[in-house]
Order: sequence, then C-alpha cells, then structure tokens
Amino acid sequence: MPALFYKEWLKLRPVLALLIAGTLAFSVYLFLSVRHQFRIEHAEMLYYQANHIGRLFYEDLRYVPLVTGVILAVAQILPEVQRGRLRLSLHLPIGLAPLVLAHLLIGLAALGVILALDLAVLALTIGTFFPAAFVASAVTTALPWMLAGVAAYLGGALALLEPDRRVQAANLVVTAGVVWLCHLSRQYGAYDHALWGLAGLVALMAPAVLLPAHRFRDGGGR
Amino acid sequence: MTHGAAITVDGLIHRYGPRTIHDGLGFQVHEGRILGLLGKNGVGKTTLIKILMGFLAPSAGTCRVLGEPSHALSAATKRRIGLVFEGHLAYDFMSIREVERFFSAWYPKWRRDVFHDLIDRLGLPLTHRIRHMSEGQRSQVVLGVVMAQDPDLLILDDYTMGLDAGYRRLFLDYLIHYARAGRKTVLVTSHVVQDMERLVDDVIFLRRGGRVLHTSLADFMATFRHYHLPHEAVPHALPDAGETLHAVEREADGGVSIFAFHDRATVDAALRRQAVDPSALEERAMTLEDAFVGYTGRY
Amino acid sequence: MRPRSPQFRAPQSRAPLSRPLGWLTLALLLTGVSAIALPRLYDLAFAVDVAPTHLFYSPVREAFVFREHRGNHAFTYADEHGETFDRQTFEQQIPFIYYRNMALWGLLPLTLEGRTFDADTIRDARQVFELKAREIADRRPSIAVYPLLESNPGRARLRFPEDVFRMTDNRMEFLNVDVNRVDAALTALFTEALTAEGFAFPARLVAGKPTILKPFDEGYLIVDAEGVVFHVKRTDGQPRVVRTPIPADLGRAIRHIKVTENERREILGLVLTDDDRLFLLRAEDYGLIPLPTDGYVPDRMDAKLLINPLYPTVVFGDDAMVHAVAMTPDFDPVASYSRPVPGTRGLPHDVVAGALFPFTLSLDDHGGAFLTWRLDGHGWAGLIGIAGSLLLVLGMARARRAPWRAAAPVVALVALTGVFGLLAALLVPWPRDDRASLAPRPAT
Repeated sequence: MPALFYKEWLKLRPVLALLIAGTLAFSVYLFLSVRHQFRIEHAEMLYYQANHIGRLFYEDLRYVPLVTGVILAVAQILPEVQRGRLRLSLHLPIGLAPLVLAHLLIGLAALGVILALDLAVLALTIGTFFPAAFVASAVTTALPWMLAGVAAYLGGALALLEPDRRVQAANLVVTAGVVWLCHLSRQYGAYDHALWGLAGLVALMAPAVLLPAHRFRDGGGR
Repeated sequence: MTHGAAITVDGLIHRYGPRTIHDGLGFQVHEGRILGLLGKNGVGKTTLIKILMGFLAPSAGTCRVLGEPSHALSAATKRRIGLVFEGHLAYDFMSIREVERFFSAWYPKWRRDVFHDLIDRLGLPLTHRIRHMSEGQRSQVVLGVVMAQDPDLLILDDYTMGLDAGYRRLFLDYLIHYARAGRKTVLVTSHVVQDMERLVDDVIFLRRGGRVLHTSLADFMATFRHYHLPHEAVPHALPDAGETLHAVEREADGGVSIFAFHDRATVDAALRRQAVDPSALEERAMTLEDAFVGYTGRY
Repeated sequence: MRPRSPQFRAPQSRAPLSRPLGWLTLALLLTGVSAIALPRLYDLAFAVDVAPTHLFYSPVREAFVFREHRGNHAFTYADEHGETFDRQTFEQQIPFIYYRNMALWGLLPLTLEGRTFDADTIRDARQVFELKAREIADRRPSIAVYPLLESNPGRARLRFPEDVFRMTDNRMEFLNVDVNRVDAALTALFTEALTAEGFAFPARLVAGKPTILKPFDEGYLIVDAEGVVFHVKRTDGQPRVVRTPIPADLGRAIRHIKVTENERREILGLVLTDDDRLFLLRAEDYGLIPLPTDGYVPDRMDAKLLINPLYPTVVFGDDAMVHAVAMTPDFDPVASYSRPVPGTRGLPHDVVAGALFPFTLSLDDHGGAFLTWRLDGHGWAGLIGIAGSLLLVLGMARARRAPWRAAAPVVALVALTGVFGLLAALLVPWPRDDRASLAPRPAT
C-alpha cells in the first residue's frame, strides 16, 4: 500500500504544487480585496454589512474548492484511464476495492490539504479584520463549498472511470445534483443544521466509485 | 504433471450485445509451454486476450488462469502473472528508478539483476522519464519490469507493435532466453507472425466462426503444406477446398496455391477427383507466416 | 449439522462485495438527488400561485373580514358570515387600515361607537408589530457581535460607533473595529455598570436592532445567566443599565425579544417564550402584556399585531390556517376567528405530484434562514406512482433477461422509492450476477 502512495505522489506532485501555488495566489488576492474594502469604507459599516446585511466578503472563495476538486480528479484519474493504464494497477497483487479506495483516499487527502489551506487562508483573512465570531461564521459558511469540492473530486472519479458514455453522463448529472445542493443559499451559516446530511450524501459518492471501477475492469479497459 | 494446465478455457462464450464473438471456445495451455495466439483481425483475438488478462468478464463458460477465474484473481495469483499490454503501457510520469521502486514493492521475488541487465543496455540514466522514451526503449523497461517480477506465467499482447526490427529482436531474444531458462509459461500474440517461429512451442489459430486449431508448432510446420499449380495448369474452374484441400487461393500471377495437411499423393488424388491434372503441382517451402496466411486465408 | 461443501463456500467467499456496494451507493445517491430535484423541477414547471389570506377585524361590522386568494391573482373579499363585497366596500369595512383611501373618498372623519376619528387620530393610534417565524433568533444564523449606538446622538440621524461589543463569559467586551482589538476602557466601563446592577454573566440572550435606519435607539435587552432582563443603552458615551422587573423565571423562558423602537415609544418590543406565549413589552415600566395567541406556533407561523384606537387585533397563521383575535384597547379578547387558507391541496397539480412522488426529500430553508432536511411522505396516493414504476422496472428486467439476483435489488429499490428509484434503475447499470461465472464447474 505505501507503494501506491509513492506512485500517486509521483503523479500528483506537479499538480499539487500548482494547486498550492494557485491557493497562495488566491489567498493574497482575498486578503488584498478585504483590505481594500476596509480602506475605502468605514469599518463599522463593513461590520454592519457583514453581520446584518449578510454580505460575504469571502464570496470569491465559493467555487474555488469545486475547481480544485475537478482539477485534482482529472490530474489523478485521467492518466489512469488514458489507454486503459489503470490496468497496470488493477493487476497489482491487491484487490480491486482496496486499490480503488486507496487511490480515492490519497486523492481526498491531497484535496483535504488544499481545502484546509483554503479554510486557513479564509480564517486568517477574516480574522485580521473581524473578531472571532465572524471567523467562525465564515468557516461554517465555507464548509458546504468545501463539500462541493469533495463532491466534484469524487464525481470526477465516477465519471472518468466509467467506460460507457451514457452512464458517464448520468454520473455527471448526479455529481451536478450534489454540487448544486452545496450551493443552495447565499446566507451565511445557512448550512449549520444541514451539513451532516450533506456530508453523508457526499460520502456516498466514495463507495459508489467502486461500480465504475468494476465496470472498467470487467470490460471497459481498452 | 497431471494438473499442469496454466490456462484452461472451457465452453467460453462471449457476446457484445447481439454479436457473438466466441461460442464455446476451449483449449489448455500447459505449464512451461510457450504459446502463440494467432488469428487475423476480427476473429476475437483481442477479446480473448482481454478475458485471459482479466479485463473482460466472459458472458459464460470458464477461463481459468493458474487455477482461478481470470477476471477474479486473488492477489497471490496476480503476483504470479506478468502482463505486457499492447502498446507497452507504463506509467509515463515515472523515471526508470521510480518504476523499479514502485513495482519491486509488490513482488517479494523481485529480480533486480534481471531488471538492470535489461535496462543497462538502454544506456539511459536511471532518472530518465518514461514519458521521454521511444517506444522501443519503453518496451525494454516494460519487459524488464515483468521479467523482474519473476512470474510463472507471462501474457504478452502484441509486444511487436511500434517496435523497429532492432528492438523487436532484442525484446524477443530476451524473452526466449528468459522463458526457456526459467521454464515459464508464456502466451503471446503478435502481428509479426514470423517472430513466433523462434519463440513458440505451440500455436493456437483462431479463425472466423470460432474455429480453433491448437497444435505444436513443429507438428503444424511438419504437416501443413503448400502446393503450387502454375498458371498454365490451372483449370477453368478452381478446385474446391474441402476435406483434403484446406484452402485453395488464386495467386496474383494466375497460378493457384493449395494448402493441405496431406502429402503429395493424397493431394494429387483429391485434385484428380475434381478433374484437375496435378502433374504440374509442386510443393513449396513455407515460413510460419506463409503457413499462417495459408491456414487462415488472406481475406 | 450439515457439512458445507467446499464447492459451496468457495464462490461465496470470492464473489466481490465491492461491486454490489458500488451499485447500491450509486443508486441510493441518484435516488436521493432525484427525490430532491424532481419535485422541485415539477413545482418549477407546474406550480400554481398561492397568496396568504388577509384577515382583519372590522370595527364597522364588528365582525372579521378577509381577503382570500382564489387563484390566478383573483381575490374574494368577504366577512366571516359569508357576505362578499367589492374591493372598495371591503376597504371601507376596515377604515383604520385604509384611512388614506377613506380620506380620498371623503369618508373621514368617521364616527364609530360614539367616537370620531379623523386621519390624524387614526394615524397616531396606528401601530403594527410583527414577528415572523424566520426572525426568531434561534431560527437564523447570527454573529454575536453588536454595535451599541449612541442613543443621544445630538443630531438627526443615528450613526454607528467605531466599536462593537460581544458578551463573553465574564464581561461585556468592546472591540475597536478599525484595529479589531479589545477596547479595555470601554469594556471595563460597561462591565462594571452591568455588575453594579447585579448582572450575572454569561448572558443568555442579547436582543437589539443593530441598524441606523430607525428613528431612535433603545439599545439592547440582555437576559443574564439567571434570567434577569437588563436594558442597556449608551447615552452620551456612558452606560445606562436598567435592571427590569421582569421575573427571572419568565426571563429564563424567553426565547426571543424583538426590540421595535416604534415612534410612539409606548412599546419597547415583543417577547416570545419557549412555551409559545407572546407578550408586548411596555416601555414605561417594562410591564409584559400577554397577547391572546392560542394555537400560535412560532416556528411555523408569522404573527402580527395591528393596533388601532378600537380593536387591536393579533393575527397569526401559516400557509394552512389563519387565526385572528380582536381585543379591547386594553388587550382583552373580544372576538376570535380562524379560517383555512386555500392552498394547493386538492388542486390537480398537487394530486398528480402526490401520486407521482411517494415522498419528497428537501433541503430547503422552508421560509427561514437555515437550510434543513425534511422528508415528507405523500400517503397512500404515492402507491400509484410506485405501482407504475414497478411495472416499468419489471418490464425492463424482462427485456434485459436480467437474472433474478441482479433484478431483485433494483426492484426492491423501486418498490421503496417509486419514480426516484426508477430513474436510478434507468441510469445506473444494474448489479451483475458474477457468481455464475465464478462458480466452479459442476462435477460430472
């Protein structure tokens, strides 16, 4: 199993570097954009907007995890399905389920690092200008966006591993549905009572990847 | 050995939708034998190799590899099987050193010496990435990986594809030496039939309609013959192929080639029965490729 | 004990569980997503408009009158006894509401119960207090940081201070918003003022109206750890803390306080308790006036108090029922009336949805601010859709000649989830029966 981590590390190294660089660039942008607000407007008005009006100063973060998840899925899984390269791994002396789940685990761990970075950047930025209660609110507001990133990653795996175009499309529709559920509200903290159910739905996507993986092995590999 | 079958295919049926590719296919490959799977395009060779490699579940029937169903192999059995995929599939993002580090972790019997013996000949630094290699170079790395696994059974799907003559020869020489020395069971397919002559013990010919001939190469080459009837001696109506005459083909120059598993006298008699004068008939020497084409037909 | 033959065991242990698991989770996922999305799409395509019923007490007729939506933007105006009016007549029944129209029509001043009302007296007496379900503090996310406005700004408009406060475990902590740091002096000043009045930290509830878009500032009502309600204001930069006489046992039961800052300054706000009682909080002496709101369910209903010179009326309801209680000027109940709201129930749109979808899964704010999960069953009608879906999936199984083992889970899913499962059956490849080809050949 450590060998799989090694392989994925070799494969994902460049894209992880890219994603982390992108995240850092985004964090600079986010920080500067909030600071800019504080320069052109009175702080007390911004507090009022953030708290009472519900303006999200970190709104630009909304779809960043989603894009991250898609990029990671493509970077990890596209090379495996191109020319059916996954057959190399499927023939390794390990069962299909542990193999596939280990790949997902590695992908999710990589994604987790980036999403944690996103959250840390968010907390630091908001925490610089607002007190802790705003930070907590920003983080819980961003959590469903993070789940959308996880859903996008797992949905990417669902779609890329599936050999049949029509089923691939169906898997993308399901993924789009889950992602949509992660972006239903623009109100801060709207998901505070719904996050676990949403996480459960997203979690279902992980074992679901076993089906396209089986279908790939039993006839999809070129 | 009594249960010396490395591969057992029995009553194998495979369909893609309404199309039946194999209908009751059966054969065995014995341990320690090197077998060439030959057939023209469209006879289900690719389907069969996919099933054998475990990447297609057959519609019905059994395909057992080292005693297990090929599409549900245990990890222990997978460890004993080396696969070379068409196009020499490899992880492009790895360097030679990384390839070895990755694959050796899975195989306790990993033969470092075998791997490096092959790799050293490439003259490439170990940090060289597969992505930057030629097809020939990559094929050597892939062969090195499979041989270093020290498997009991090797299945190679069209190893010749994309290789120039030099690399093909190199690949083949290594494979022959390795398989013979280690008493490995090998199943290969190749577009270049003539290579098989040096490599295989047995051949399986797949023909349209699911007809299969499984024989030793020596027997086949000894009994399958090519007779030629020159243009002038060819009757108006071509003799029919049938019981005795395996195939009758008109050549580009107007002459006729007759292929049969029979000696001259028997073929003469068969021609006479069809009112054809066999006196101008002459037997010609054949390479395996000639025999393959003669046996499976040109079209 | 029957010995188990090894032939029987071997395929059992080898049949991969991961494939059926993959199928099950993907099918459940698709079923779940469609149970949310399909009813929403259906509503988007076929929803009919609904509008709430407006219910009033008419001082003219001394009866309840209402405006009810009949569909297609048409309304019925009637009273509780069934008499219907045109719109103008309706408005004339409730002159305290439509006093401006009354003035236009030359019907003012008006004499009722021996008292005469002109436009000014009506306007001066009129007050509206409203508490919507979505406003209740625990029904909406909030950030517990508040600006404490200067209640004596010395100018026409209120303005935000450059600090905010939060209630910690042991103090009322002020932060300077420009530097996002604690203002120790201000914190000490207010904390001491609170402590001097006997405030017990931490606070249970902080209620105020943190906006400058209001005529004046009444600061915050803060319930302390023991249930005592304190009124805290900042006047000329100094804390002004009043320990209110509201009993602590009631204070501990307070769920929500809405500070209203109404021009007349008679009423400080509305108080809602955990047991769904609604009170008016008098500004003068912090006296609580109970409102007759039997049947009020704050989590589902919006409540409104219309104060006029003769019959203050409290109206509350949801999308199914509306209730109204008319009171004397001293808030003693005079008359009450309840009326079902014509909704979508029973309309073809609703009947078809009930039959088509066995249930609806929703992730929705349900008119509030928090998204919540809800599963609504559609009763026996849902069996129709399930039966139809079952027929279709059985037909599919036949057409595919699917073995029983492969079809059974699909059929079971459809039997439980109807059209949602059917969608999964159409889109997710069925579980395949691997066991046949895995089983050892029968001994001959």
